[in-house]
Amino acid sequence: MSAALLNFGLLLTICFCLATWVEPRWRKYSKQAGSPASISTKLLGESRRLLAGQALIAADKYFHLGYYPSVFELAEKEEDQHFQGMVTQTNAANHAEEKTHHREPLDWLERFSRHFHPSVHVHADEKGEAAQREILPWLRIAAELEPENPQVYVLAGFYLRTRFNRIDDAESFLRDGLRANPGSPEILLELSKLYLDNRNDPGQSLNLAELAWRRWLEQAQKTEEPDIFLKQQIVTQLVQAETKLGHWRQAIRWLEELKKHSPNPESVAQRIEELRREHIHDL
Amino acid sequence: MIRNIQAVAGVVLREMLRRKDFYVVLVLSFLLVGLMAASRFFSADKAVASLKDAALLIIWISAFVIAVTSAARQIPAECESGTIFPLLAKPITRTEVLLGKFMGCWLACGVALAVFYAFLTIFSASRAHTMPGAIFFQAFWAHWILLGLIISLALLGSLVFAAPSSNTTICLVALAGLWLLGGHLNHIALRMTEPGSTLVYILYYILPHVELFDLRRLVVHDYPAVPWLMWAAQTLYGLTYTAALLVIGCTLFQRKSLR
Repeated sequence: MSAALLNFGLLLTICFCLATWVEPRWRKYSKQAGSPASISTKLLGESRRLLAGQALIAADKYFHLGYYPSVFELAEKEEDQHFQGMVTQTNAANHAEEKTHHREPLDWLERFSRHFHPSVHVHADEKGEAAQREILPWLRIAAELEPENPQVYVLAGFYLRTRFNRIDDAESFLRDGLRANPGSPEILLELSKLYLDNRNDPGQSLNLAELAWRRWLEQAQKTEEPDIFLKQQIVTQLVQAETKLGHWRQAIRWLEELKKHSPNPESVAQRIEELRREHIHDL
Repeated sequence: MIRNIQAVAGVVLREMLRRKDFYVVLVLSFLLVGLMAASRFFSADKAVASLKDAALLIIWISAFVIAVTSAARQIPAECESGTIFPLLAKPITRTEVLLGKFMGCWLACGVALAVFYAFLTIFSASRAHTMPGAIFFQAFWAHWILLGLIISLALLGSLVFAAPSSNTTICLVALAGLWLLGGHLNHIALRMTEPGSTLVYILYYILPHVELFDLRRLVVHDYPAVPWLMWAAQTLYGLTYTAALLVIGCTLFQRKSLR
């Protein structure tokens, strides 16, 4: 047997021994360091959050079919909206308004340049499913880069189940989000909607909405400014699930909760009265 | 005059096609796009726009690099090797040499660009199952016109700056700045106080607008073709700047001491 072959065998043996020595230590270290880091975390570190933000912006750009204001135009728009807000106290972000109040070009060169890039505010919904599908890869990238952001999972889950009718994909992605963000009320709420609207399973939907409610209460106790909008969404979902199950008493109880922060408490009170009238014998 | 320019351009074209840079960039671009196309999101997605977007960005960056690096070394390489002297000893003027160099580089970049866009067209048609429209041709044309401007800028830079490396760096930085900021200089000027505001606005009108030639977003999101009159105006705009830069370049080359 040649010396080269023996050397090769020796090197292989050393490699094997080293691997058996390193592997348990690495596993122990990984456990101490928390969940195993993804490739993006290892490669990009904290800068991945910045890239995740860019991926979300890209998703928004694709939703607007390439029309996206520059940072300078956005700054001007913010100033305008601030002004409009002071004067009219109305929401200036109305799509129809934006279409009609599109900013005039500053000069002939800008007017000329508008022929060479998308300069009209449109939404992917208006162009059909294929255009909307293009948003998904960016949301996936954003989730890969920043799995701690539950909004990305909620947004992708919403698109998958409502626009593409891909319920299994939506559920799988939302459960991925739940693994990355245990107990996130936003993701639990979206899952609850999926079970109620798409799987026609109000029982499971109610369980998920109740869990979302408990998690929201836990979060609300820890913060000075709880997310009231999320609370209203969770409570609305609870009302829907209880109504579907015929739990009228609980539905009314949740409607009472909804009324506390509703911008239109009269209509909620009216709904409560309707339920009481219609199901007087069940209460 | 035309024959002399053709002769120099032919030599430059052959020299560039013999070099490996172009093929390396081409293979790298194909590999990157192929890798991206292989990744699938959400089990059954057929995302075309994001892949076209990425492919076009790669094409844009590759074309920038090819154009600037090839044009920047033309005159310095001739001077360094001393081949400029036997060349100028022939019945050929300095203007013809510079124009020949420009034509050669522009044609070579055009060939590279045609290969890139042909790849993009085939790739896009195979993924979207539809033939790309006239906007693809307009995007290719606008890109090629812009490359003419870039090459003339790099040739001018090679007559001003001492080394091709510094010329390449300055040109690439300036082009990236023009590409990203050029179209917003008017908005920046509005937020400034005088006399800065007027100065920036003058710059806005004087500097070439690289972003005018960037039709990527229209291609990516399947917009219809640009009105042909506007397309012609865009071509004229690009050719005017190229001609202006070449005139300055020829003037400088006439006066440049080659020793």
